[in-house]
Amino acid sequence: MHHNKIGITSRLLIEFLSLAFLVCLGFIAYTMLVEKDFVVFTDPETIPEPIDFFANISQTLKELWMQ
Amino acid sequence: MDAVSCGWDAARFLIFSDNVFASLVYYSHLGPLIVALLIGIAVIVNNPRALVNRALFTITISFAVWVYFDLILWATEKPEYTMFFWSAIVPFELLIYAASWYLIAVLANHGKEPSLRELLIAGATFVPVFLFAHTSYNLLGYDLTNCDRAAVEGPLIQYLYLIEIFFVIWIITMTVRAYRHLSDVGDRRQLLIISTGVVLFLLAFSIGNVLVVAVYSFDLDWSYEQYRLFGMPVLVAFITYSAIRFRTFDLKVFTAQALVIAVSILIFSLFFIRTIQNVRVITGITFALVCILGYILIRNVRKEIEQRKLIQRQEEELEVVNKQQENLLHFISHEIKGYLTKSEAGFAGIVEGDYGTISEQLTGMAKGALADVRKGVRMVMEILDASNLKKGTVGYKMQPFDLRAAVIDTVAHLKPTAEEKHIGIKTTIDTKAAFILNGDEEKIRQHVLRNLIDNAIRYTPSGDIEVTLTDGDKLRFSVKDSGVGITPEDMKMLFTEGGHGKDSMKVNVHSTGYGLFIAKQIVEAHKGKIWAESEGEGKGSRFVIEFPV
Repeated sequence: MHHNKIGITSRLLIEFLSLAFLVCLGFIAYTMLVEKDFVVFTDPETIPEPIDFFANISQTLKELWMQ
Repeated sequence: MDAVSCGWDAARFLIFSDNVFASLVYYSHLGPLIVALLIGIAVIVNNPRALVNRALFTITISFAVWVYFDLILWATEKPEYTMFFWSAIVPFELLIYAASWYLIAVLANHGKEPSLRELLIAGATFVPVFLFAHTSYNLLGYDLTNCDRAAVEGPLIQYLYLIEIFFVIWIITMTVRAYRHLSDVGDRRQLLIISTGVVLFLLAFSIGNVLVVAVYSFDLDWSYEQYRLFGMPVLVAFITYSAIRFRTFDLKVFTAQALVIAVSILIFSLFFIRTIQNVRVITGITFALVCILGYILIRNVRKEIEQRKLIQRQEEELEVVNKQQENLLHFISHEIKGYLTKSEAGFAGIVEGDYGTISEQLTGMAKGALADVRKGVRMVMEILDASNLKKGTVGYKMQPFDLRAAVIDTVAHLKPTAEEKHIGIKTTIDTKAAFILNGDEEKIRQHVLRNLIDNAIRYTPSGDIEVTLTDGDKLRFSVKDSGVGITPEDMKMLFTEGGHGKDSMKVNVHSTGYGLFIAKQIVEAHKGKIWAESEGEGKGSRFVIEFPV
C-alpha cells in the first residue's frame, strides 16, 4: 500500500505552496522583527472589539429567517 | 508600561524564563514536543519516499514547531517576539490540519495521492493565511494594558477555526466513504485506526482553542487549556499500533516498540516531577491510554513474531521434504527407465525376429507389450525431463531451424493416431516461406508441438483439430480443438507441475500431468509465451504459443 509517485502537477502545486509558506514566514519576520510594524495598545479603551464571524453569520441567518 | 514596569523576566534560549509561572507549561509542551520529533524522525528514516510517511512527518514536525513557538510565547518578554511567533503559529497550525487530511486521503485512496481537485481545494485554504498572516487582519496589535504579554487576535484567527472544522469534517466524511468502498479488511481497519487517532488528535487541538477562549471569558483555571497538547501521545499510540499491525509506515517492529516504550517512560516520568494535581490527572489519563494500547500492541507483536517463526520453520521443513521427494522421484524414474529400456529392446528383438520365428499369437502379444513399454518409457522420460527442468540441469542446443517444417512433420506424424479416432487435423500456415526460429528444435518438436497436438487428439472424443501457424511481430502457433474444454478451476492448474484437471483424468488416465509444465518451461526458455483459452467445459479449447521473431 505504499505508493511513492506524485503527479507532476501535484508536485508543482505542493512545491509552490511550500515556497509560498516560506515567503509568508519571511513577510511575518520582516514585519514583526525588523520593521516592528504593529500597534501597541497601552489604553484598554483603544483596543478594538474583534470581528466575530460566528456571531455575524448567526445574525445574518437570523435576519434571513425573519424575512 | 513596559517589560521593566511589568516585572517580566528576560528569557534564556527563548523558552526559559520566570514568566512561565507554572512548571505544567513545560511538561505539557516538552513531552509532546519530544514525542512528535521522535515519531517524525522515525517515519522519515524508515521510508522517506512513501507518501503516508511524508504526510506524518509533516504533521509531527509542524506540531513540534507549533509547540515550540507556543512555549516561546509563554516565556518571552519582547513584544516583537510575541507578535512574530503568534503570527507564525497560524500557518503551522493550518499545516497540521492539511497534512492530517493528506495522510487520511492517501490511506483512503489505496496509498495513492489525492486528486488534483482535492489538492487544489486544500491548497486554496492557505491563500488567505499567506496573504494576511503578517497583517493586522491576523493580529490587531500587542496588548500592553495589563502585563499579559498577549497579542490581540484579528478576524484571520476565526477563519482558521472555520477551516479547522472544515478539515475535520472532510477527514471524517472521507473515512466513512472509503471504509464502505475498501474491499480489503486490513486496509479498512488500518484506515479506521489512523483516522480515529488523527481525529482525536485534531479534536483535542481544536478543543484547546475553545478552551483558551473559555479560560479567558469565564475565568476558568488556566491549566485546562494545557490538555490540548496531550492529543499527540494518543495519536502516536494509534499510529504505532497501526504501524506494527498493518505496517502502515514501513516502520521496523523494533522502531515501533522503541517508540511505545519512549512514550510510556516520558509520560510515566511526569508523575515524579511535580505534585501539581492537574499534571497528575493529565498524565494519569494519558498513561492509562498508552498502557492499554501498548499492551494490545506488544501482544500483537509477540503473536506476529511467533507466527512468522512458525511459518519459517514450516517453510524450511517443506523445502527439505520437497528436496527428498524430488531426489527419490528422480532416482525411481531413472531406475525404471533402465528396466523399461531393456524390456523395450527385448520385445523389439522378438517382434523383428532376432530370436527366430515365433507364432503369430506370440508376435501379436509381443507387439502389444512393446507398445505398452514404449508408453511407459515416454511417461518416465516426461517425469525425468520435468525433474531436470526444475533442477535447471537441462541444456538447450540453440540454433536456427524452420518451425513451419517442424509443424508439418509433427502433424504428419500424429495424423494416423487422429485418424484412428476419426478426428481430422486441419493445418493453416500463413505463407510458404520458412519460419525461422532460433531454438532447440528437438525439444520444441517433442515437448511443445507434439505435446499440444497429442493432447488435442486425446481430449477430443470426436470433431476436428485446427493447427495454425502465423507470423508477424511474433511467430504464433495455436492448436484448437472441439474437445472436452477446460473449466476455470482447471485452468489455474493447467501449466503447473503435475497439475491435472479435475475431469482430465477421466479422459486420459495415463496423464502424468507434466506435459504442459514441460512445454511451458521450454517455451519460456525460448523467451516465448504459452497460454490456453476455453469457454468452459465441453466447449473445446485453444492453446497458443508465441515466440519473439
